[in-house]
Amino acid sequence: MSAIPFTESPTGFDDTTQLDRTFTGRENELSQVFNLFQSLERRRILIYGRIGIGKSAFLLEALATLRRNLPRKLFTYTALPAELDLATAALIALAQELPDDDWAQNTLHQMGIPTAKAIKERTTEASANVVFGAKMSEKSAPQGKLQYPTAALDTLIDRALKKYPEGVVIAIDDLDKQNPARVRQLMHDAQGILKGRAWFMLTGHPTGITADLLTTERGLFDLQIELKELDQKTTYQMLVNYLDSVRIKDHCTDPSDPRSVLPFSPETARHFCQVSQGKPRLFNRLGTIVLNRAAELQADKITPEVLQAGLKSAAPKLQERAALNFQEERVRSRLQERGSLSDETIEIEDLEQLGVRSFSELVPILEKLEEADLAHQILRSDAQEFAAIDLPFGEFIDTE
Amino acid sequence: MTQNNLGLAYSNRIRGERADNLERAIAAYEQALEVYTREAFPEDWAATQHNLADAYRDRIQGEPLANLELAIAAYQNAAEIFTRDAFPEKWARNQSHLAQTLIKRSGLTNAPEDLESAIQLLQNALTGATPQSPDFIATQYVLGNALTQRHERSKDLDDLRAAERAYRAALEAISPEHYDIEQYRNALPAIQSVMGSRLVRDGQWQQGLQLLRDSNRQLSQSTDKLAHANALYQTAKAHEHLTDWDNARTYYRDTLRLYKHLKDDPGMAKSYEGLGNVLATQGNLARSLVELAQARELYAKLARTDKVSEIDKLYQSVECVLAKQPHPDLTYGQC
Ligand SMILES: Nc1ncnc2c1ncn2[C@@H]1O[C@H](COP(=O)(O)OP(=O)(O)O)[C@@H](O)[C@H]1O
Ligand SMILES: [Mg+2]
Repeated sequence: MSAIPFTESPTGFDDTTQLDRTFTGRENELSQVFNLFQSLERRRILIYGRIGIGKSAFLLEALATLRRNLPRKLFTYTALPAELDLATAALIALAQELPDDDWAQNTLHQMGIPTAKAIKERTTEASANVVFGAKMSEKSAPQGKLQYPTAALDTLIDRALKKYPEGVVIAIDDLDKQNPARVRQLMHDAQGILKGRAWFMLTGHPTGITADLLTTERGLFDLQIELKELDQKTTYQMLVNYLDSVRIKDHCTDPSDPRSVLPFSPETARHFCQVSQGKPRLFNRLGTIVLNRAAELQADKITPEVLQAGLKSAAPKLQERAALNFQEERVRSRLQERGSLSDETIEIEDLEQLGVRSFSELVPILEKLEEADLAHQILRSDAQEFAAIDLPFGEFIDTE
Repeated sequence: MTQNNLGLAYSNRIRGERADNLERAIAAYEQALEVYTREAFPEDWAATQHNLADAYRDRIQGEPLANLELAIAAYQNAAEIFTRDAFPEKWARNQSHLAQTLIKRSGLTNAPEDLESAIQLLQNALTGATPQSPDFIATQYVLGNALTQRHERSKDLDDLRAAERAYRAALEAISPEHYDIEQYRNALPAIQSVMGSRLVRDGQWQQGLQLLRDSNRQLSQSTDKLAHANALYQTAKAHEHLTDWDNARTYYRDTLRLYKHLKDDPGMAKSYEGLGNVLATQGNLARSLVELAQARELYAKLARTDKVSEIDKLYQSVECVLAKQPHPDLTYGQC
């Protein structure tokens, strides 16, 4: 192996080759999206699921494939920055994809954003593989605010449609990372543009906004796809693909061939997949930890003992990465102790011991723990509940 | 010690039975008034009337409304000597205390006129009070309270804005060592939570949520749990308005927990009601009924018949919907 293949997030858009080689499964969901693109009528698609389940990866994979096959449509992608409304975010993404459109470039210039040309030049230097316009970085966050972003976006979509009469697709990622109350209002304010002439693909979190968009706003989306945990077989294949993506020679992606999971054995590979619970981000994080531990132990095979050692170091490593402050650590250990915390059953004494008076003050902390794979939210419609993630420290269990 | 000073000593005494002390103070002032006649000692007479009024205003024994009437009459007596021209500061203080008494009475009688005159008096008094003086600070604070109360009826956003200005003016002038600083500090976030909720309902959701977040954060640090509970309630309502059911539910539960801890029945009743509503909207019907039943019980205990019948209606309609859903282990009445 030439390097550690696992990554946190798929946000290397200037290089989707890694994603192309590692992306696994979701065939059914992808074909639902592709089917919709058979039509010329514009559509709105919502992809939802918990953080780390693979929404961004799915969106990027879908867009890459679509872009290859539908050159007469314009595909744009943006990760919604924290302080931006949907119209402005969409406008910037679209303008950056239209480097030859003076009006678009002018608008970007007015907002104090580096124009698409400048960005393209910069990124093409770095990699020959530009698929999407650079994602919005801090540098490209707007300094000047547009007064009428909706109207400006409308104009720009018009101009884009002249050049790409078969359709303009605007994918807005990372809505799941925003406060649901904010997302709700963003969506509310963006009803007009969402129902306009562009295609939209959005990603969201399964609770809050998404949950009732699905019930109360039935008309808004033509397709809603919930991404769930991958099954064990797919997870195993994902491991094979990741490992293969960094092999220099002896490529092998056939899971029935034991060499496909080297340096794992089929046995340790299966166990690793089981611990990852089909959650791609957790899978990637644990993968990095296990391979690093193996390197420290100078082991060239992931034997059961090596895997065990790697997994044992996972919980402290995840905690270390999360860089919890005192308060967050207090909440984490309470969660670990109780197994779960919910707004329904927590008592005022518990809250006081954690230095707060309301569960809502704990929610951002619990979300941070979820982000760090130290907790996960239990999806239920009658309470907000978070449970601890159990990393098996104990005996080695084989599943067969 | 003169009788007037003796009265003052009694009414300000911290230790001992406050009720008894006030009775003694009233007796002392009334005795003093026999010595300081209006004709012979107009200024002392007026000062004693003012002090007597304060004691009646705060009196614990006796019929509350009658005490307030006596207090009002005594302030009005004092006002005959403490005119704006002759004694601007004493005039301002006397007017301000009269206003507080009117506010207290409007709380008992629900009469809007008292609140109106009180606001007038306070605004006037501020023009006479020495800026940044203790009277100025107290008057601003009371004005803030009065405007907040008026908003409850008028629903006029300008009332809230004016209340916020008044609290801010009080806070800017108050010294950090003031014995009531905490109460003054909490007034601002408390009003901001009402304002935040209001702005959300008026469609200015970003600004409104920001205010709610800020006021919750400030109040969560304060010892005033009731003010915090109220702010949480406002936040719950705002989220309910935004159809953000998950957050509304969590905030109602937070509110409920705190009101329960404070043994505040009206607060608990409205939190159960809000929670029941949200659960019903989300389709958690059986759960909703449990909360609504609690709300109903508390409203009945509080003799809020209007609320009881409102909840009854809601309860029945939820039951109806539930009855239409097949559920083997429960039986339901006719709808
Ligand atoms: N189907 C998949 N195959 C391979 N890798 C995946 C897959 N889904 C997600 N990943 C990887 O898992 C990590 C987390 O996924 P991500 O798309 O960021 O999740 P989300 O957007 O839902 O938070 C990323 O490194 C991503 O590339
Ligand atoms: Mg994502």
